[in-house]
Amino acid sequence: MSLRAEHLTLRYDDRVVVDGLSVRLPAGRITAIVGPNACGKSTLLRGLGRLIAPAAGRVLLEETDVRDLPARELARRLGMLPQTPVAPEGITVADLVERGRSPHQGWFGGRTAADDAAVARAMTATGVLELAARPVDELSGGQRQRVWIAMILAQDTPTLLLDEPTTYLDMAHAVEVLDLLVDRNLGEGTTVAVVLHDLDLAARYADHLVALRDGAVVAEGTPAEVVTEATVERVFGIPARVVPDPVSGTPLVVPVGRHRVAPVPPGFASEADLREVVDEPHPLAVAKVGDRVDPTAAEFVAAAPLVVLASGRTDGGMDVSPRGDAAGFVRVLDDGRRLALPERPGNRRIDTLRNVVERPGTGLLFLVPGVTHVLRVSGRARVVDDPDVLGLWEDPPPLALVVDVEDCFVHCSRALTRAGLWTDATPATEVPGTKALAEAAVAAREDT
Amino acid sequence: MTETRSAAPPDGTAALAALQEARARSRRRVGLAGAGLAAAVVLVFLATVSLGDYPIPPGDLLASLVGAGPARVEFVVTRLRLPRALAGLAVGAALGLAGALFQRLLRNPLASPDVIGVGAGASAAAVTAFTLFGLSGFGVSGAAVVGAAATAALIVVLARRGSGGGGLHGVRFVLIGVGIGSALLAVVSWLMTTASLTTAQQTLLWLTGSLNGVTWAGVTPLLVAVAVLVPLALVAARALPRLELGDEAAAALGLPVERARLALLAVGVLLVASAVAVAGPVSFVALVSGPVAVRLAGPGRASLPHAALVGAVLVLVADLVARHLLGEVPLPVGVVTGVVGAPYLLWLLARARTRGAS
Repeated sequence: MSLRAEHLTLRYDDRVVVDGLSVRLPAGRITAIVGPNACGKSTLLRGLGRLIAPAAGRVLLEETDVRDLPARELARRLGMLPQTPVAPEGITVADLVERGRSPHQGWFGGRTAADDAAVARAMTATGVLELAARPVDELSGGQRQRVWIAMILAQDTPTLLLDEPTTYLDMAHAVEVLDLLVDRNLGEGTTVAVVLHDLDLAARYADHLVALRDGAVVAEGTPAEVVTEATVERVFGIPARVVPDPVSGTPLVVPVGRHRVAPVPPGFASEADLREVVDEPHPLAVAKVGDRVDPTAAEFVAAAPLVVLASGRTDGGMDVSPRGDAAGFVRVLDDGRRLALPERPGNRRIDTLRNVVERPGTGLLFLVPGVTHVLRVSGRARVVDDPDVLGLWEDPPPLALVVDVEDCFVHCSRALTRAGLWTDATPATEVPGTKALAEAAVAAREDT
Repeated sequence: MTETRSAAPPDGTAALAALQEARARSRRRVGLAGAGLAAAVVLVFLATVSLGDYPIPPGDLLASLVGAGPARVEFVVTRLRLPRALAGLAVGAALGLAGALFQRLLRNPLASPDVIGVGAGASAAAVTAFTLFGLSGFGVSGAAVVGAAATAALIVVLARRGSGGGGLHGVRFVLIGVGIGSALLAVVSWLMTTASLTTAQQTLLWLTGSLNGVTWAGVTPLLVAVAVLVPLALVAARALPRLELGDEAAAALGLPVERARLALLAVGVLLVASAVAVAGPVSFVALVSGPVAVRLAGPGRASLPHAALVGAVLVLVADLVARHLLGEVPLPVGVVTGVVGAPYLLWLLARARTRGAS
C-alpha cells in the first residue's frame, strides 16, 4: 500500500518539527528515512502512523486520509513499532506477540484460528518460537527486538513503519532485524518505512531513501542517488567519502573528522577537494597540440590517476565530475586515436562522462597531482562491453567507455596552482612538461 | 541459538502446538490460582460470620444463611455479622481491583490509589462532610465519591500539564498524587483539630479504616456499586494489554488511548470512593493486592479478578485478626492492613531505588 504525506506540518506544542513536508513511500518497497539527530525523522514517522495529528497537511494511505479511518481499521492496514515500546513486567514472549492481533479482534477478544496462525507465523519468521514461554524482560536486547518485530508482523498489515529498530543492537542483530524486514517485504510485498541511524545499512537495505534535515526533505531517491559526498555533507554537516560497499555494491559512507585522518594520496581526495582544485573554467592558455594522443601525451595519461569532466557552465563555473583510479588506468588504443576507460561498480558516472565528452567545448581532463598543466582530450564516446576492450585490464570491468579522440590540448591551469592541496603534492613520476608535449605534438603532426 | 534454529525450522503445525501448549500452561495457572483464591474467600467469609463472642457452629451457620436456622442464630448472622462480612468482602474487592487497575494503567507498582492521594481525596471530602456539615450516611458517601473524583481529575490535569501534551507519565503522576495526598491529609488534620472531641474520635476511627458498626443501610449501596463497577472495570480493562505497551504502541494497535485511559481511571476512582465511603481508607490493600495476584496467577492480562479476590481475603483476614487476635478491644481493620502493608511499601521503595527508580 502506498503511503504519502502532503504538505505535512507536525509540531509539539509550539515547536514546529516538520514543516510542510511532502513525501511518498513507494508501495511494496523498503523506504529508509535518514538524517541527523533531531531532524524530525521520528516525528515524521509518527505523523505517517497517525500518532501525531498534523497541524496542517494530510497523510494519505491509498488515497484515503488516515484521519478518516477508524483507529482499529487503520491498525489493520498500518503497523507501527515505536522507538521505545514498554514490555510489561514478567510478560511472556507468546503473550506479547499475541497482543499484535488485537486490531483483528473485537473488544471482547474472540481469538480465532487465523490469529493463532498469524502469531505462529510471525514467531517462526523471527525465530522466537522457542522463547515462547520466556518472560520478555529476561531476554537479550537482540532477542527482545525480534519479539517486538514478531508482534507487529503478527499484526499482519500491508504497511509497516519502524522507528529505529536497530538502535540498541550490535551489528549482527541489526543486520538480522533488517533481513527480517526484507524477508517480509519480499514474501508479502509489504511496504516498509524505517527510520535508521546507520546510513550504510540504510543504503544497503532500502530501495528508496529519504534524507531529512531540519524537518525538510533534502534528497530523495535510490541510495545511489541520495548517498553522495555532497548530499552527506549537506545533510549531516560533515565531509565524507562515499565508496562502494564491497558486500552489496551500495554506497558506503566514510566520514572525515578532525582527527585520525590518514594522509591521502596527493591530490586524490574527495569530490569536494576536486572542486577546490578545479572550480572555474580553465584558462585556455595553450594551443591545441594534436588530434590524437601521441606517445608523449600517452605518457602523461599513464601517469594521471584522475580524469575530470570539465564542462563550463553558463554561470562561468565548472561542473566537475571526477573518476579516479590508480595511475594509468586509462588505456591508449589505436596509436592514440582512441582511449578506453573502465567502468566499475560504485563509479556510475559513465553516461555523464559520455554526454559531456560529446558536448562541444568540454572534454576529459587528465590530472597528475603536483603537476599544474593538464591534458584535455575531446572526442566522441560510446559505452562498450566488447570483451577485447574489457580484456585490456587485468581485472576486466563490466563496461568500458571508448573515446574516439578528435582533439588534444595542453592547458596551464591557474586553478590548479591556487589550490594548496594540489601544488603541495609531489608527482609520483616524472611527467612530460608542456614544452615536451607541444614539441611531440608538432612532430607527430609532421609525421602524418 | 543459531544451531537450534537452523537444525529444525519448526513447521506451521509444530509452531501452533508450541504456542497452544504455552497458552494452556498459563491458563491452568490462572485457573488454579483463581479457584484457590475463591475458596479462600469463601472460607474466610464463613469464618467471619461464625466466629465471635457468640460462636456459631458450621451446621447452624449454613442453615441460617439460607434462612432455616434457629431464630437467635439467624439474628446474629443476618443482622450483626453478615453486613460486616459483606462489607469486608466488597471493600477488599473494590480496593484490590482498583489498586491493580491503577498500577497497570500507570505502569508503576507505587501507583495505587491510596498512595497517590485518591483515597486521601475521598477522606478529606468525607471528613469535611461530617465535621463541618454534620452529614452522615449517603451524604458522606456522596462526598467521598466527589472528593475522590475531584482529586483524580486534579492529578490528571496537573500531570498532563508540562508533560508536553503527551500522555500521562507514570512517575510524574505518582509524584503529583503523593503531593496532593499530603496536602489533603493536612486538610483532614486541620478539620480534626477544629472538631468536637466526640466527632474527632469517630473521625479518627473512620480514617484508620474500620468495619465496626457497618449496617445493612451502609453496605447495600456499596454492594450495588461493586456489582456494577466490577464488570465495568473488567470490560474497560480489555484495553490494558495494549495500554501497557506504551501510549504509542497502544495507539498503533488501534486503541483510542485517551478514552480507554479515562474510562479506566473513572472506574478505578469510583471503586475506591465507594469502598472508602463505607469503611474509610483501609490502608495498603490497594497497593498489595495487584502484585500478590500477579505472583499467584502469573503475569499478563488475566490477574485482575485475582486482585479483587486477594483484596477481599486481605480485608476479611485483617478484620478477623483485628477483632479476635489482638486482645480484648476490637481494633479497626486498617491497623492490621497498615502493619502488613507498610513494610511492603518500604521494600517497594528500596527496590525501586536500586533498580534506578523506574
